[in-house]
Formats: sequence, C-alpha cells, structure tokens
Amino acid sequence: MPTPENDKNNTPNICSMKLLEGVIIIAAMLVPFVAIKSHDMTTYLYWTAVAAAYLIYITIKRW
Amino acid sequence: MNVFLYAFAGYVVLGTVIALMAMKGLKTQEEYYIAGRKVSGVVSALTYAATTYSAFMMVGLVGLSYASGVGALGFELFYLVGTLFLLSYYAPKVWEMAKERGYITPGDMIAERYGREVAVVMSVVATIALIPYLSVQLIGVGLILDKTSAMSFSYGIAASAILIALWAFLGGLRGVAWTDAIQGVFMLVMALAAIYWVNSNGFGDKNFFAEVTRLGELLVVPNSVWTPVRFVSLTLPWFFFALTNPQVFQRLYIPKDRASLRRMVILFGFFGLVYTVIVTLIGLELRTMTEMGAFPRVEDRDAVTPTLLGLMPPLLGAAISLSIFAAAITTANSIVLTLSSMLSRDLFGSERVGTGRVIIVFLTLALTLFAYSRPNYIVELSVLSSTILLAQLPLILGVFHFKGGAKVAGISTLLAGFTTAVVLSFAKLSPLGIPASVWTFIVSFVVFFAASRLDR
Repeated sequence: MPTPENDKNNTPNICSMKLLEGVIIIAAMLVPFVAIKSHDMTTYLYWTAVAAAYLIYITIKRW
Repeated sequence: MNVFLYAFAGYVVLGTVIALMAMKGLKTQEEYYIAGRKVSGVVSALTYAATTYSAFMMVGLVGLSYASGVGALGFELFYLVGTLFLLSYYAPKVWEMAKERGYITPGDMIAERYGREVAVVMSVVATIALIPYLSVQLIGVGLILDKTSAMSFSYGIAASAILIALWAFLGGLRGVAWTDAIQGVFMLVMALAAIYWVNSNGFGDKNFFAEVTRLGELLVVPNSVWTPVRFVSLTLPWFFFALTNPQVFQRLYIPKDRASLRRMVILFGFFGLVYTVIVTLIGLELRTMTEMGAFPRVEDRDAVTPTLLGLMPPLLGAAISLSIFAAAITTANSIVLTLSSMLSRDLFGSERVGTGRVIIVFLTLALTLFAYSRPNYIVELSVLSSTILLAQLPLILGVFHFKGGAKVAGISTLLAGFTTAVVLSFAKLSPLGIPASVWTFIVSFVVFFAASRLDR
C-alpha cells in the first residue's frame, strides 16, 4: 500500500530513472549531428519520428 | 474595405463576447488569474499551445526553415521533447503543491521556499525579460499586416494592443483560455490550409521528396548555419521553457484535476508536433520551390511568409494573416495577464483583482510604446528574454531537489544570471567559445549552490 514514507524512499529511484530517460531522449535527438549525412529528408523524418515516439511513450506510461 | 478587415471585425466581436461571458464571478485572484483551478484538459491544452506558439511559428520559423534548413525543425522539436520530459515529471508535483497551498503566481511557490523578497526580484526580472518579447510580437504583426496591405503598421499595433488588454482585462484567465482555445484550433487549421496550398501549387505534378534534394547541405546538421555551438546556444533556453517562462508555468495550476493535467500535457504535445512539422515543412517546400524557380528568392527570412501571403488567393491570405494575428494575441495577452498577477501579488502584495486590471493597462501601454519606438536593440532583447529567464531554473529545481538555499541564494542567483545574460549578450561575448545562454545556465547554478552555503 503506498504511504508517504514509501513514496519518499522511492523518490531517488524515480528521479534517476527520469534522468536516464532525459539522457536517452537527448542522445536520440542528437544522432543527426553525427550519423545522418544524406542530402534528403532523412534527418527531417528521423527527428519527427523520435519526437512522435517520445510523445507516444509519454501518452502510454504512468506519471 | 478589404477581406481581412471583414474577417478581423468578426474576430474582434467573437473574442469580446467570449471575454464578456467569462467575466461572471471573477471576484478573487484565484478566479481571475487561474480560472478557479477549474479548467478542462482540452481547454488547458489549447491555451497552453496558443500561449506557447506565437507569431514566431508562421513568420519566424517558416523563414528560419527556408533560410537554414532542417536544423530549424531540430531546434523546435528539442523544445517539444524537453517540455514533455519536464512536464511529465514536474507538472503533477507543481499542480498538487499549488492546489494544496493555494499558489496563484509562480512567485508564490518561490516565496514560500526562498522568501518573499526573492519573488519580488523574480517578478521584476520576468517583466524586464518579457516586455521586449511582447513588443516584438506587436511589431511582427504590425509589419505583416502592413506588408500584406491588410492594415497599416500603426493601426496593426494599436489593434493588437487594445485586444491584448481588453480580453485579459475583462475575462481574466477564463476569458483568455476560452479565446485561446478557439484561436489555437484556428491557427492549426490555417497552417494546414497553408501547407495544402503550397504543396498543390508547388508540387502538383512533381515529387517533393525528389525535388528537395536540391537543398543540399540545408538537409543535414551541422551545416554552415546550424553549427553545434549555435544549436546549443538557441536550444538550451528553449529546452527549459516550460519551467522558466511564467506564463506557461502558471498554466500548470489551472487544470481541474490530475486527469485534466495529464490530458493537457499530452494534447499539447500532439498539437505542438503537428504544428511544428507543418510550419517547418512550409519553409522547406518554399525553399525547394525557390531552387526550382517557382517561388521568389527571399533574402530577408522574416519576409518569406509575407511574400507567400501575397501570392495566395485574397481570402486564404486574409485568413492566414488573421491566424498569425491570433497567434500573437494569444501569446501576448497570456504573458500580460501572468505579469500583472506577478506584479500585483508578488511585487505590490495586493490581493485585489482591481490592482491586476490597472497593471494590465499600464503593461499594455508600456509594450505599445516600446513597439512604436522600435529601438534598434529590440530584437537582441527579445532573443535575450529566454536566456534571462534561465536564471530562475536553479530556484525552481531547488524547490524539488535541494534542501539548501533561502533569501541570499535566491536573490544572488537571479541577479547573477540576469547580469551574465545581459552583459554577454550585449557585448556579444562568448568566453572560451561558450555562448551566453550556457554561461547564464552555469553561472546561475554555481551562484545558487555557493550562496546556499551562506543561507545556512
């Protein structure tokens, strides 16, 4: 059963999970700077797909 | 009387009727500034979106995509994922604290944690940061209406200022949220109409994906415009926009329950993604058309959208011009209302709605005069606004993650961050090759932690 004490004990864990989520999404958004060099719409479509995937993840997950 | 003026007249009447309807029962600051914390998820999402997405989208971002290519999309989507990342963690905490403790302004949370004096300084810093940004909205709208012969520059500014003050003055946040919701939908529909027209006229019998390869280095990052340093410099303040900009932070207080708050964040995300993709695609399509010889080459990137509007059928051009006008108004009246709440409540300590209404009038006059004077440095100032607001970030994160820090830490962080942002930006300095926004970020956090030791 969730109690304030449990919640307090879980906070650092939730915080580090969220931090990891932040590192992953920033790293994913930076990929075109190092890995996509084709002169077509690849970078455009990649960024759109990453943002859409993250939005779906936020929609589905509990927070 | 041109087509735009007919549409504009209908827009004014509709918005004013909504603002008058929203007036009922606005007796307390809680009702006036945050609609009594009773806003539905859908309306919260639309007012969040309409407040965030200003005239910059259909004017500035179309031009930026045209001139600099795909990096403009990355810059804007970094803002969106940053906002989703931050709100999915902090929004429920902020909403709960605000409801439990009766916060009305962003300064209420800061005052409780660091002391009232810090909220006073924060209200002044936020006002200095946001007035030039607001004036740029007015100037942008005035110029676009003038260039498309819809209305002269002076009348455009005057009309914008009157509507900004009137709708916020009458209906408070409830009026602003209702008008934002309708205008937000209108902005999205008109952006869709614009991309449809551009696509039909530019690529009716051609394949855009084949033609776009003409843009070469504009389709990759980094390129000659989007260097890594420039990208970080512009993206960093925007990544934290959801926490540092008071007009959007205050919107975290307004949803009626947790489910509505969640709906607000998710629907805003979908709005933002669709709007950003459409707007940047318009810029890339127009640039491709320029390379194909089907659209004039435009050297001034802010003139791309006016040039496009000039080529469209009058009715469509008028409707899109009106949507740009609406985008500016929805952003500006939300900022004016939030600043009036911070100045009346945090700076002057007033609990009266009337004080806020007087401040709305004075703030609107100030930004109108600023817009009419069109100082040379106004663009630099408006760019600077998001960098200045970064100085608040350690204080806001400190509420949730740090135990130390009180009055000395709060005030010195705000002053150090503000000074760093202003000095480096005006002197155009990048010590060690690091841009002003990153320095502001670093200095604010270093000063916050260092000064927190003095507060023990």
